[in-house]
Amino acid sequence: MSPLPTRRLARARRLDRLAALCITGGGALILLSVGFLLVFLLVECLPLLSTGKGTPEGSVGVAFVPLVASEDEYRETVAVLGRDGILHLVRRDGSSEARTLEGVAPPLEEATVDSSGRLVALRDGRGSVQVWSVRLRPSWKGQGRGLELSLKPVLVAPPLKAGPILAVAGSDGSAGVLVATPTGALLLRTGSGPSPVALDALSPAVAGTLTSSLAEAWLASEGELLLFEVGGEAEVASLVARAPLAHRPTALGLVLGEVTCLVGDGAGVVTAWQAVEGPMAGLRILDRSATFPGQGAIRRLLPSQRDKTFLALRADRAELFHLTTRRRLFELPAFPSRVVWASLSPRRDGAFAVTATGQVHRWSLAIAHPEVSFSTLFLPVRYEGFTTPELVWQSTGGSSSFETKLSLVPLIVGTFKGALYALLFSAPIALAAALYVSQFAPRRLRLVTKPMVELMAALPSVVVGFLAALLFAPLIQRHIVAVLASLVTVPVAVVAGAALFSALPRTLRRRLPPAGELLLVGAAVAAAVTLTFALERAVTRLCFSGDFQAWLANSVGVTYDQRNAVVVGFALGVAVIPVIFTLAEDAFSNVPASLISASLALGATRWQAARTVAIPAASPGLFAAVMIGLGRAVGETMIVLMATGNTPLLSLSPFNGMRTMSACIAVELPEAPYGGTLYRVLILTALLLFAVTFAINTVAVMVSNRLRRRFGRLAA
Amino acid sequence: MTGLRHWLKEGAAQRWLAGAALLAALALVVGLVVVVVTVSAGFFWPRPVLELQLRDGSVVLGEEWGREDDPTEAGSQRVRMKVGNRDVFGLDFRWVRGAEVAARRTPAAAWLLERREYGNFYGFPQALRSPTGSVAVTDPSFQVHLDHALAETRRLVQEEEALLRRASRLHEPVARLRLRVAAAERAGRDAAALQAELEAATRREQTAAAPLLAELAELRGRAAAFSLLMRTADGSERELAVSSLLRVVPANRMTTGAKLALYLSRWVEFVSGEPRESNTEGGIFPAIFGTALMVLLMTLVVVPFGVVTALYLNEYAGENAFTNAVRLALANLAGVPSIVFGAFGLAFFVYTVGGGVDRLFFSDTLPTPTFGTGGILWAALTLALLTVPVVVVATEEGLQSVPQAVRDGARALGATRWQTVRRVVLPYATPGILTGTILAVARAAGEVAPLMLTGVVKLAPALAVDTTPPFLHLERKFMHLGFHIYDVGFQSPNIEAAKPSVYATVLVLLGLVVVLNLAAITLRNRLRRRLRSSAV
Amino acid sequence: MTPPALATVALTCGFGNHTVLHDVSLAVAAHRITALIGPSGCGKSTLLRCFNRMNDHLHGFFHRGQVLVEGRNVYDPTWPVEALRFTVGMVFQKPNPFPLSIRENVLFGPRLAGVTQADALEERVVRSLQQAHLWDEVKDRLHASAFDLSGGQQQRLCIARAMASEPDILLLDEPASALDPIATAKLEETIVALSEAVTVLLVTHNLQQAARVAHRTVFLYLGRVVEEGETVRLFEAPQEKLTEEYVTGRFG
Ligand SMILES: Nc1ncnc2c1ncn2[C@@H]1O[C@H](COP(=O)(O)OP(=O)(O)OP(=O)(O)O)[C@@H](O)[C@H]1O
Ligand SMILES: [Mg+2]
Repeated sequence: MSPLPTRRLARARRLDRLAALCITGGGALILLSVGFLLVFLLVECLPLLSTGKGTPEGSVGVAFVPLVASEDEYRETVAVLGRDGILHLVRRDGSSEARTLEGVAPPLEEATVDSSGRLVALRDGRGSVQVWSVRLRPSWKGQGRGLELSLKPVLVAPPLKAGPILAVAGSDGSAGVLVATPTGALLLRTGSGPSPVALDALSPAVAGTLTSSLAEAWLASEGELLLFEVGGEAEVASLVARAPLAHRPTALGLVLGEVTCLVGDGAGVVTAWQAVEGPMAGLRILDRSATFPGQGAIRRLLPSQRDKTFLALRADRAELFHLTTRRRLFELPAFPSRVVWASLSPRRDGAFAVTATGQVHRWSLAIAHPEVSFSTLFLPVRYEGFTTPELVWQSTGGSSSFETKLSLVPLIVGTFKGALYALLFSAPIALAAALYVSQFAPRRLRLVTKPMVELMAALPSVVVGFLAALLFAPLIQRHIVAVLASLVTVPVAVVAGAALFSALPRTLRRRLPPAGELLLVGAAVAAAVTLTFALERAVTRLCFSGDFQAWLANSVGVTYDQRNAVVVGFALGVAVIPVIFTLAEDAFSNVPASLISASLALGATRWQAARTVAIPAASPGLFAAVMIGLGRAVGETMIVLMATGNTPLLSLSPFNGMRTMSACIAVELPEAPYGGTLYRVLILTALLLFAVTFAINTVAVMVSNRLRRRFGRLAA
Repeated sequence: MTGLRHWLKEGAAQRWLAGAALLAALALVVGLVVVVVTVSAGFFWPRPVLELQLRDGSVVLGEEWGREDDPTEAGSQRVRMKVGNRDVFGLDFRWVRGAEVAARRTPAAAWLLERREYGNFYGFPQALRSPTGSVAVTDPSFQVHLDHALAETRRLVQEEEALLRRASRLHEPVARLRLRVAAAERAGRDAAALQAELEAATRREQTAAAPLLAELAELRGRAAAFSLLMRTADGSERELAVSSLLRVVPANRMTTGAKLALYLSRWVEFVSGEPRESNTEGGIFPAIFGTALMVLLMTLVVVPFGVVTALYLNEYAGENAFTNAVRLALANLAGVPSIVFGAFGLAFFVYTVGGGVDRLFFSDTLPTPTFGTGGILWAALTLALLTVPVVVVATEEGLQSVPQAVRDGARALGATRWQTVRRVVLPYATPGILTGTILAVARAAGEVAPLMLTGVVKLAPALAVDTTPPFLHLERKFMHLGFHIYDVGFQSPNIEAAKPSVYATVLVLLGLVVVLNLAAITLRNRLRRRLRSSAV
Repeated sequence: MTPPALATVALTCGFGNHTVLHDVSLAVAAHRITALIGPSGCGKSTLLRCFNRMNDHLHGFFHRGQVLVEGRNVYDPTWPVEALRFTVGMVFQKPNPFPLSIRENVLFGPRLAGVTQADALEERVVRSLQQAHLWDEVKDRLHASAFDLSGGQQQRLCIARAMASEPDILLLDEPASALDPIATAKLEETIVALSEAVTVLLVTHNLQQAARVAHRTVFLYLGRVVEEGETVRLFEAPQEKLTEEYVTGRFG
């Protein structure tokens, strides 16, 4: 009787249960991590869908009649100018601090603020038009952050007979204010020349706006929009372009970048205008690029200083729009009545409004990605400065007012272009090679080819891309004619070689070992390639007058990039051939040998057996192989990153480069700020890539299953 | 006509075409490998220093680095000369048209100097200046003196480097305090205490570093006393500090043995040295080390995880909807492009997990991230996710090769399921696991795209393993062979000069991957043979 | 009175909806060799596996009735299945050595049981291999891989491995089916010698083998016990017609 190791047994059983738990958990973890990967990426790009929202942050009351206001960068203080000529700094807690504008005679008649919120133009009790610089700068002294107000007059004009103030713009050193006159408007400026510049519109201006350089001014009269250029030696304003307006304009505003002028009218519609080259050279015309319908007359248009968002202020409502996407984002909730001034915070993360009753209301705004919508991602968009809608990917630009253009179409097209050129090259080679190895080659050859193809699959793509870009791209460029010609001459030479071979006496053919035939094929290929390259120069001289690239540019109108789709096709082919070959070879070797020998026994040649039995029976597997090769080509990153010019072009020409989704992610995602629009769009691109490859792989499996069922009966 | 049809039916043409396709595919692999090996292996072989006498009377001295048809003149060739002396000429390379050359010579006196900075120098030695005086090249003891000067300055440079390392270690606490002070100020917290601490630390550093700096100045002074007077091709003279020289190569007077020794020593330097001149020269040791460490970390994660998954699928779960789902998930993981893993790694590991770790444990230096930016740990985890299917598939193959009878035998002896797995099944499946591990390692060593998002850099300031606690710095960025190729080959300002370095890196990476794969293939073939023999 | 080493009481079992054994009641006496004979597929292996609960690992297994080992129900929840298998050893039809050395194969059971003293282990190796009549052939290469042995040696190694756990009962499922006559003769010798130490239940197709080694024989047919008795009597004077037809080779 053996001793019962009870204690030990109990421990072993406990350990066993623990291991089972851990291992089952590990199995589940894989499933979880794949699901999590998908869900996480999805969650990361979900915010792109939201148009944002505004949340009221309450209001504080002040004991004076407000005229205009502006807010500091950190949204702590609103500087409100009252009719009493005093600037009140109103804090969140309702406490305030007053600063008198020296030399301003109360009560003020009117006032306005420029788009940056730093210049206030006012007309005081004496009718004097003045511009004041109001700056709330954060100061870091002592504990925490404080605000420091600097207040100084930058332009004081003597009383003059003129209509209302239309707009103010510029900087402390060079500010300008636009004042309406019966024939148009006057531009008063600091510094340069004491005499105001007259903008002659032949009718009174009802609204106007100025660029911050003071070089351009837009005026709207009763039925017309006019663009003036100010400057030149004579310091005069010249009318550059004009366009009729359908309704009576009520407000103008310049969207960030100061190219597009928004016109709000009494009917409640906002239209966007930009000056473009007209049909006659050198003459510009005003072109309406967008229309934002709405209800209720527009009182003011307040563009954001961050992006192409703007706030449209109506009698009892304020709405946010985005110029490029042409979307109405949302309406500020709980908007008070009798608002005298409202605007967006400098960082576009808030808004405020002051009412005639002395209330200062605030909202916080969460508008993460207003510039992205389904249509900007996938449909042509007319960006500022464009005359037609286009599909553009351009994520970075020089200036701060640069607008990112994030259309995924060029990337998607580039991805599939590269993949298709790769398949065009690799699928025939890989399928034919698999056919040869499985149907015609001796067993020993298979033992050699398998590891070699596996090695090919293992070649790091960075190495392949490197060689393709630095070694083969210049070579192909120099010998493009020969390379393209080889695609024809080599098959022709091989077929000719086969014909010659068949003409040999049977006894001689019999004596050749099977591997010997492959040597002959190799000789035919080598001969064809050598001949093609030798004749290249002569052919080029004859057909393309000596220079293929020049011929291409002149006769076809296609430029030749050194790193182009042909190069990528070859390079990606190196990555794709082993994938297709291995799967196709498996598919062929899964065809029951009995089927083929039956066919051979009926007197068919090996080729006939292959054509009538092996290829049809293996076809689902061959299809799946090509699809999975496509999936691989679509997802490949380093090769395309290195061997394409990586420019997001929308061209299908084999001689141009492209940018693929994967390369775009690789290059731009490391630089994209976390949580920003570019970051989310790139994550969306990754998700899309995931979806595309997932779909391709699934289709491959499904079709191969379906076809296998159909041919299954044949094979059985 | 019927003859043609008959011929087509016989299929010789089709067979030949298919054979040509196979040859094309094989030629691609073989050609690629051969091209890499031939191009890369040649760069380090010493070349003669040529002196070209041009028709306009000027002289060009340097190495020939390729020739091609002259685009400006049909029928003649032009030569790409590496003329070096970047500090004199600005560019290392220039084209010399065949028609310009009046005479070619290989002057025995011409030397190639490999320098720490500004690349190669080509010229004729004149004299050596040392603290003990000047020795002309004609002096028979010149070589002895030069060897002594080289040895002496090399020792001085090493001492200098050691000093600099000590100094930078002294600076570390100060740098860290600076970050904390800046972070505190930005967050509006009271930084006075930290400020005081910083000042104290700065003072400590200064007192500790002062003797070091004095020593440094002294060392530099001693090194500067050795200099070599060289005459360039155009006859002007230049004095080069001996301490700036890595090697002195009398290129035209070398025996084959000396050339071989130089060739090998260049390779050794390449594999074990630090990069110089923004990665275009010097070695790639940090890249090799970074690749190895990252792959090691990845292996530590992926092997247990992959083996556990394979065990689950093969030993614990039967065929059911859940295991089917797991298999589907695996198939998908295998098919998803690597860049998607990179994006996930960046979004999840770096920003979400890393950002969280920073907020929890490193909040004193925020917003300067510690783990919330790419690093070797995150890269390893990302690649682990990428390579899980590789390990699972290979391990499953190994597990399937274990005969059921063996499992039954162990169970019948009273072993629990876990004991059976641990003592019998796993040893049996070891070749499979090993195959999977090697394949995963090879895949990870060659993969670049996901790393670009998760922590690879062109030049890492420090290795992820060093002598400062905690010795292994998982948050550090690292260098990688594959990324090195991409970066130097495509982002380098001086691609021509960087060519030897990039091609050699390509050779190293390719060699690594090929060797790993061959090992895996051999191992797996052995496993398959056993599977076949145990099945009968 | 001591209970029989192995017994079943009205045992019905099978897989899924296919019943293999019908109402089998059987007793196997201690320290004797009992042979289980019957045509292929009649349920011999299934019955054998009931005694060490190896059937539990097979998909869809069910059972009714009782299986008793030394009078104790094998499904007794206080009797862990691993402990049961220490008492009831088993040798399979095909040799199944582990990918370990010969020595480690033998020591697999003792190590599970937690035997760690070197001399105790050594003693087990020697004794088990001697019991399995393998010692002389392998004593010089105990550290060689078990796969280097011949088929017959491997099977005796499996017996040694089972004996090393010092079981009371040994189940042998056609242990000689993969062996040539000489190896079979050696194996039979081994089995007879073993019966001094353990109770042996032997499944065999080879009637001569049963006649040569077994004290008692049980004839199973279509999942039912047709006849059991002393081997000599069963072969020479079968009481059932079926038995007679089977032992005279008229079917099966
Ligand atoms: N795992 C299983 N699942 C379902 N049915 C099984 C299983 N194992 C055995 N059977 C069935 O049980 C019946 C008896 O099988 P068993 O292996 O016990 O026969 P046997 O008498 O040992 O035959 P042989 O002499 O050929 O070994 C057979 O009909 C078989 O089909
Ligand atoms: Mg049986």
